[in-house]
Formats: sequence, structure tokens, C-alpha cells
Amino acid sequence: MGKIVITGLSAVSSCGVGYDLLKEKLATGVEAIMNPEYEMQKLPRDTAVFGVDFDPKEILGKKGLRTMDKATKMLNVAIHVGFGDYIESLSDEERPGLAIGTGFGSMESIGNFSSVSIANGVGSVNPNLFGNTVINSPTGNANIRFNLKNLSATMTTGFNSGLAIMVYSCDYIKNGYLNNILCGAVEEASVYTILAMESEGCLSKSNNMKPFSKECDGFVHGEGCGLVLLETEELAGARGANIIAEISGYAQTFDCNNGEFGFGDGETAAETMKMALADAGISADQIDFVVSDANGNRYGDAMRLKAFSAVFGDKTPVTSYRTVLGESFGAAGMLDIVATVADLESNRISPIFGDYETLTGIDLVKGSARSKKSTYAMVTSFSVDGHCTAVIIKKR
Amino acid sequence: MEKRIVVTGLGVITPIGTGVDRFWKAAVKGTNGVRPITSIDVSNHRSKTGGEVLDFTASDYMTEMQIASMGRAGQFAVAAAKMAIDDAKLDLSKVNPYRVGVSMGTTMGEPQILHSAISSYYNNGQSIEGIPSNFARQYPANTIPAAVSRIFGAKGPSTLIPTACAAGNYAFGYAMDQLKMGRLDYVIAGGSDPFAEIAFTGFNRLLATSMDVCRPFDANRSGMVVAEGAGMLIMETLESALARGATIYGEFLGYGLGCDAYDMTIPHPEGAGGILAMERAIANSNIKKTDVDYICAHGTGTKANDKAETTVAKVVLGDHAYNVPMTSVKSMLGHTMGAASAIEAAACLLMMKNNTIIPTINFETPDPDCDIDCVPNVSRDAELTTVISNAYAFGGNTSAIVMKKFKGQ
Repeated sequence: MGKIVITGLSAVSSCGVGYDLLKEKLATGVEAIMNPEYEMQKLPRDTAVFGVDFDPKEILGKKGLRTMDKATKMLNVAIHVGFGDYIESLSDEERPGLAIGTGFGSMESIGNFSSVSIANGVGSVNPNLFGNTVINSPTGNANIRFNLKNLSATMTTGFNSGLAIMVYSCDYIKNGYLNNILCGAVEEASVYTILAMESEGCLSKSNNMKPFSKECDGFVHGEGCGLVLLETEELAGARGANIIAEISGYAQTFDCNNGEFGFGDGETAAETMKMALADAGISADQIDFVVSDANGNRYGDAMRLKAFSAVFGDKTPVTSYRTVLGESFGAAGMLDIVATVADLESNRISPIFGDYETLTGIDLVKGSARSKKSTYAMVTSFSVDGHCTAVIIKKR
Repeated sequence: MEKRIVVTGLGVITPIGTGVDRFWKAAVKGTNGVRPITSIDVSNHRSKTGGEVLDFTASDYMTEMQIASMGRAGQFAVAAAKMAIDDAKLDLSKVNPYRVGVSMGTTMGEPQILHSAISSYYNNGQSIEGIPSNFARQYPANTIPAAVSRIFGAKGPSTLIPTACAAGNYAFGYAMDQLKMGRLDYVIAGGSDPFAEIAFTGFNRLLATSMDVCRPFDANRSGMVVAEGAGMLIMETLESALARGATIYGEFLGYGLGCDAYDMTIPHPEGAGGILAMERAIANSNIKKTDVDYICAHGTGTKANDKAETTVAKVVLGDHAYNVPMTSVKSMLGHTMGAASAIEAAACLLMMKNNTIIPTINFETPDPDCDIDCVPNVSRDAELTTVISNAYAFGGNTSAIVMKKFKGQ
């Protein structure tokens, strides 16, 4: 089996709609907004959100949007703006499969369905909204809208979902089932996830995310959708597609040794990265930069720093895109992939924004973008639940 | 040479029995596991019956601390995994933990935890103090495979494919792929779903539920029945199984996936996605259509599904479809959601092992739209060699897996 390549990208994020806006603002920064609905939602305090502000009607038209939740709208918009014309040009048999990662599906839909039945009785529940309560609802809705019949797959590994679906999609292509897959991940900022994370003490009290900080106090909720077109190099070449990047290698493990605060000691995370390097057939010093899922959780970021130090020492630049994109849970890994390609294309490493003192021991890219002409980047996800994934992308 | 993948251990939790022996004995007798619901207040709901698991005691399989850390789907998954691991006589302490993976499926994960948290939130005047302390740690669906991985020390990939009622088949397919790729030596694979008021409410509001029992393929069938359960298999390479002298239930030949791309909750009327999945499963398994001697149907008992699924069998197998019994395990269990195709895979393996087809119960009146042999009401002796198990889902997800009796190398 030949290489698996990326020939297209799309995103809906705090940077706006489309890959180009993400590429532009990744290096310049985005301010989180205060949740405009916090009073209506009766949240205990005003929390910041790296939210997506868009009008799906302007992009998708009015048809079919009435029962669609925000997660599904973001996914459909990302597909439409990035690949709508391409899909339209293909027959049913040629159309790519669809594989989407998500932590919750549409938490808002599931929560509201429950809330209505509790508050007003089961007879008040709208049956047309029941289909939105399954975790694969955004995926299935997109399959219908774009007539994608070759595959409808959904992956849920919590915060790790975005990279897990990348691994699943590459495996599916490598095993010869399909030659092309639209691989992405989506998550919406829901009042229910905000409440859950606030109740757990995960959200930043200062509404200020500080990855790898000595004084971090949690993360800021994000949302969005990242999407890439994966295909075999052979198919891409045959149709004259522009090959942007290549998936060089990857690895996936599970950290059984979660400590009291949910994160292990970094050993499994380090092993995952070594396995990914072996899969790619390269050494650690060939990695030009590492993208971390560090998000301002004290214990998680400390674990990540330890793991990076063990594999890369203090020579390889490490960054996190969370201060631009927020913590978007299941969408995060794919938004990281899209952002990584943006940095590879732009010969830069976008930074962690914020004026604060960082932990030491690794080379953190902070404050402003660093110019670097890179070939290999490693994107990582080491989640509180134990799921660990590392994906290596090569610029073409 | 391509690796061959086999199943060496089973674990099931169902409305007709917890544990393989109890389940199989009840299934052979055609036991009806659909009863008046006891776990939730159904007084305001249209239907009153469901398939609840009544004989499961979590403490038989895990510690009190482990029980407290999980929801019901997680407890089911861990218990069924333990049954399967014990059945396979697999000592995980002696294998490389990075070579053991978990591949699971579910429809909604732990929705009852969310429902309970929201109820508490409202009862406390929409105060955050009403959110239960463990909500954020217990609710996310991925805690289900994570619990299995953690408790059994499996450090390979731990994944959850929530493709609703087809999830088990998707999980088995991914397990097979990872074994064939040489990434893993063992996969604990399957599906789990608890009885959830959200699901019960939704299906009732869609008018998709039967008012009493589940009667697939019957002319007077009136809908599906919400149920719960779990099914887990131990999958490994043939080479590994032979080397350690494991008992082999059957061989997993291959699978096929497709999508109706038609409607979120209604199957394609001509079974387009189901046809694609079955055609692909047969092609990917390198079998002839005439090799198929049994189909385990998705068989929910709705008008739409059973008619479409009969069409699928006839379009794909042609005249041979009339020689292939097609039964529905859901007639006995109800619809166990993401666990369904996992339990049904275990049932298929037991049918092949015991040369017995378990029946479609509650069948009284033939339907010309479902003119297949559904083995009505009474089990039948039959030597089965190659079986297909279908699973279809919300979102138009369709799947089919192919398994074969193992008769030696």
C-alpha cells in the first residue's frame, strides 16, 4: 500500500469559516469571547468560549436546517466550503467515505431532549429531534446532505477523538476498503459541557488558558470542526490533485496508569511517540516541531512536558494551538492537524499566546510565531481518560 | 501470508440471561425477554415493555470502587469482557500489554447519567450544586472502553465507534483490521448499551415501538422494543490461538460497511445501504454467495426494517436467499442498541458450535414482503458453516460481518 496523503483541508473554528482564516489567525491570535448566553443559560459565572460565530443559512441555504444542531451545522459547513464542489463532481461510487470524531455528538441536542422531557413531560418531546441524540448524528446528517454512501463512521475517544478518527481513517484506506475518506472531527460548546466542566473544576477561573504555565488554572472551552481529504497517493496523482501533506506514521495506546487527577506519569505518552516515529521510519531529531494538546490543566501539562522531554529533550520546538482554538474536546485533534498543515505550508510554528511564565525543560514556542521551514511535525493527544495518540505529518 | 482471525472467548449480558450458558439455554428454548418495564416510570409512555437485564450483579465481576466509577454500560462492558477473557483462558499478565487492544461500540453510551444529572440540576433550581460530583467523569461514552482497558491492563488502542445500532459490527471489523495489520495480538471487542429513558422516550415518540412483544417478519409486527445488554468477544490471530491451544469458536472472515444516505431514522426502502454492506462483506471475505447458509438479521420488528432487510437478502443472494434461514435474535431480547450486533455475533458463533439455529419467536402470520425462512418459534437443528450478521442504524449506517465455522487449519 502506498502513501496516504492530504489533498484538501477545511475548518470552522474560532478563527472563522474556512481553512484560510484559520491559517491567517493561527499566527496572530484570536480572543475568546464571553459566553453571550450565560445569563439565559443560568450558568454560575460568565465563562469565556473560543466560539464559532457564523450564519449557516448564508452558506448552506435554508433547506434542511430547521432541526439541525450546531455541531451538525459546523460539520456541514466545513464540508460545503472545503469540498462541496469536489463532491458534486463525483458519482456516488467515487465519492469519499465520511469518518468523523466527536466527544459527544451534539451534547446540546441530547441534553435538551432530556430537559424537555423532564421539565414538560415526555409528550412534549419533539420526535423529529430524536435522531439528533445519537452520537453519530452529525456524521449521518452529513452523509445524507452530501449523498456520501461509501462510509459513515464515527469515533469517540473523548478529548482524543480527533486523532483517533485520523488513525481509523488511515487504517481503513490502508486495508484497501476505500481510496478516499473525508476525515474530520466536530464539537460544539454546549451549556451542558460548560456546566459539567465547571462542576469538575476544569474551566479556567480567570478565563485565561495558559498551557505549560506555572500558574495555570484550567482551560477555556472551544468548539469547531476540522476536516481533511485523505486519499491514496495513487488516486491523488491520477486525478492531478495537489498533494499538500502526507501521513507518515502514527501510533495509538492507552495509559492504564491514570493518577489521582487522571493523567499518567508520561511513560505511556512517551512510548506512543516512539511508536509513531518507528511507524514513520524516522528518528526524533527529524521532527521539526511537536503540537501538544496542552490546555492549562496543571497535571496534564506537567505529564506532557515530561513525555516530550523524554523523547525530544529540549531541542525540538513544542507548541499548542489551544490559546487560539480553545479546548474543543473531540474536535481538537483534527483542528490541530489542520493547523499543523497550515504551519507547514507557511514555514512557521504558530505560538502559544499569553504573557506568563512557562514550565522549563522543553523548547516552547511562545508569544510570537517562529519562522521555520519544516518537513515533519508530530501532532499529539494524551487525554485525561488515558487515550494516547501521535500522528506524524510530512510536508510535500 | 494474510493473517486469519478467530474468536476464542465470549461474554454476554442479555434480557434472557447473563453469561453464555444461561443465554444459550434460554435462546434455544425461544425465551421471551421482553417484559413490563421496572427500572423507569412508564406511566406516561405509549409502550410499557422492554428488554431489561434482571440477573446482573456488578459485584460478581468488579470491585465496589470500580462499580462506583462507572455507569451501567461500563459495568456491562467490564463484566462481559471478564467473561470473555476467562472463557478464552487468556492470561493477560503474560502478554505484552501494548499488544492488547479494546474495540467497542455503543449507541448512546451512558445517557441515563446525563438524564439523572439534568433532573438533579432542575430539582436544585438550576444550580450547579445540583450536578452530581462524578458526572463529568462518568458520562462521556469513551469511559466505557477506557474502563475495560484500565481494569484489564490493555495498553493498546482503546476505541469506541458509536455508530448506533450497528456499532458492534463496526467494532469487530476494526478489531479484525488491527489484528491483520499486525498492530495487536488480542482485541477485546464488542458493544454495550444500558436501558435508557432518553432512548425509550425517543422511540416511543417516533411511534416506532411495539405495544407488547417484538415480532420480526410477522405481518402484524408493530415495532421494535427498547432493551439493554452487552456482548464481548476475544479476537486473535489463528496462529496465536493454535499456539496457546485456545478453543476456537469460529473464524472472522471479513466485513462490509455502507450508508443509506437517505434518512436519519428510517431505513432506505429498497435497502440500498444494506445491499452495499452485504455485497462488500461477501467480497471482502472471499466467499461465494452460495456459501452463505444463515443470516442473523438486524430484524428489529418494524415494518420498514424487516421488509427492507428481506429485499437486501433477495437482491444480494438471488434465489439462494430462499435456502438461507434468516432469524432475529431481537425477537427474544428486544433491541439492545449498540450491544445488539455484538450479542448477535456471539449468538452466531454459538449456533455454529452447537449446530442449532435459534428461532424468531412471536411469529404467527407470514408477511409476503418478508417471504424468507425465519425459523419461526422453535429452534432447528442445522449444520451451519458460513454466516452473515447484519446491523443497521440511525444515520443510515449499514454493516454486515461474515463468520465461518473453524474446522481446523
